[in-house]
Amino acid sequence: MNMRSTTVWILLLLFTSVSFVMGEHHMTAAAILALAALKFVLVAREFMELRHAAALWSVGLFSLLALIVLSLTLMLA
Amino acid sequence: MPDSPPAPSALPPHESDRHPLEPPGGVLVWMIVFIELLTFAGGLGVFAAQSRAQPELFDPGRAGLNQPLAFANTLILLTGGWCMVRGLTAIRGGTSKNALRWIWATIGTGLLFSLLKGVEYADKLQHDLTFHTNTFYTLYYALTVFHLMHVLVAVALLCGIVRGIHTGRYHPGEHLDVESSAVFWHMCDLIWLLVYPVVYLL
Repeated sequence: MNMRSTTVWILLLLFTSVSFVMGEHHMTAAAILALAALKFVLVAREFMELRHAAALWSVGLFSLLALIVLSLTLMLA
Repeated sequence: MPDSPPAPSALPPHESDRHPLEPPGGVLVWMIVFIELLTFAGGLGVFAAQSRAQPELFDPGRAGLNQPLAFANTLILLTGGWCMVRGLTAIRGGTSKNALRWIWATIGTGLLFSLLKGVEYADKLQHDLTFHTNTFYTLYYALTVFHLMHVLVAVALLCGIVRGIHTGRYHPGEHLDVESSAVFWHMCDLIWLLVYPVVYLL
């Protein structure tokens, strides 16, 4: 459990560093928000333990995430 | 402070006594998660729409934000999330002293985040960039201050958890409050993971 959470934490730090560089290079909203969504999923599944919960919670949360990210991407494209 | 012997094994959440449909931390805190995400989604939508409508305000506004500070704050919040996971694992394993260390570390990241936000706002205010300056700053302050308030609430909840650990209230057999507080803490991460790119990076 501790090894897993530590691995996820390191990945999150890495992805955040990548997103910072993407922002500095003015990459597209779609790319930056896609990376944000990936980090969101990692926190929800691993840190919030949704991977152990009934599927309806993951479906609900990630559906909401998809709606938010798609809407923002369209508005910022 | 009671320090019970380690449990034979920390029960994974899905093997606990909870109802099969009950999420980690309970239904109430997850209702809060969904409501807050919807609220911030609305705010971010307004920010995005105004960003398209008024690029002459939003482009220079965003360029004037402290990118390294926001990046550091993101790393700090995510580290707090990791500390919270370690703290919850320690409670489930019956190692109260370890749990306290990790939860204090989580509180520390929340306070550090708040301090750096204060530095960020102080810099803006010194340059007369206030809530009323223009639409960009109104939305910038609204979104980030509202998020900061959530972080401070999370810190307060964790302080209550620390007190509960000290009194022996939380242990492997009873720690729903710790799970709920952990979910609330991670919710602050989820919100920031959306606020950070929209407000600072794009």
